[in-house]
Amino acid sequence: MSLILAVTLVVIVAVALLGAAGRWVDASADRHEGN
Amino acid sequence: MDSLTIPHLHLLLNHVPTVGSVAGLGLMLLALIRRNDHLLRASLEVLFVVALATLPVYLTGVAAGTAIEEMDGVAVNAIRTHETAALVAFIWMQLTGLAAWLALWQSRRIPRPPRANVGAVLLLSVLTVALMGRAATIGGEIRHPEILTSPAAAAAGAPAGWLTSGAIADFVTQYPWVWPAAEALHFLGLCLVLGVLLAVNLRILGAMKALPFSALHRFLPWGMLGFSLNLATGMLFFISAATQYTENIAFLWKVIFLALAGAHFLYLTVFTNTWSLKADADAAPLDKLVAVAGISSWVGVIYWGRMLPFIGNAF
Repeated sequence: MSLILAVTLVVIVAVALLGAAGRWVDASADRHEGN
Repeated sequence: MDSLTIPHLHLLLNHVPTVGSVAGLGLMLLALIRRNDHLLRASLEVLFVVALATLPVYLTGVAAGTAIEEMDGVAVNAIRTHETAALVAFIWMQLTGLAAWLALWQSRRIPRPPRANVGAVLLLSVLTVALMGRAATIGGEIRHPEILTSPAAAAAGAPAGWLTSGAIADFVTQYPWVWPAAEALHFLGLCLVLGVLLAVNLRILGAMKALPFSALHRFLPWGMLGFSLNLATGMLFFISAATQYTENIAFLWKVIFLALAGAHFLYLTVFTNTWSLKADADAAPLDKLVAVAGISSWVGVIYWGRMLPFIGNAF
């Protein structure tokens, strides 16, 4: 049970970090375009 | 071709990151001195391609180390020290390539690559050149005691620290959650990169014609994030069970298709003929052919990855 919990937590945190990084990079296109 | 062994291949390829990172940095410095943006873009492209090429260099290096460590006249500790130095240089090279790609992607929408990104690439590439030089020097000492610069390093035991292949392998195999978590992320990363590249390539092939290519170009960083996630998790697998991959024909094909897919990613990012594709416009036949080749490369990566335990001998 603790294994499943640990894997789930790691995946959620990693995906959240990935999403944050993607959002930041995507927003940079708007900044550079002056939008 | 029969005489081309993995150590031969490594000796052939290992000059690429050492010379290539110097060439990329040199081009970048020249571009900054001359204030030439075309040259600057070219230097960023060179650094990205060199980062791609560094992957097979590292992989063949690990295989070559296993192949020669039992031979007479080979300094086994120098192999371990070289492997650790190469891993550190590999990581910094990938960070340099990623930053270079980001600058190229951003510079599509603005007249010149953003200053902050170029500064970051410059700093990263200076560090990478130094680390590559160090790894190459230690690598040369494996079979050439006549050029030994640090006899103490060759005589010392295996390198210690957390950023060594031994420490990473211990971490991955010691905790039961690491491998399955990395495996789940590897598949999510794959979905991300394939999903993005499928949408972009399908537009070139004539689907979703109402969208200009530039709208789909905005998606590319998500694909690159998936690509980076897969490189990181894939390296965890490789380092932890290297012989499962180095002695596996399916892995060799996977890496070949990965190199092609990486080159195609750069093509989608920087080539003008696709970028200038307006809404309702049709791509040229050659660009459609390249789009098919790009999708096929990813199908190749996935097919050979899945075949690791079946056609190959992993797990």
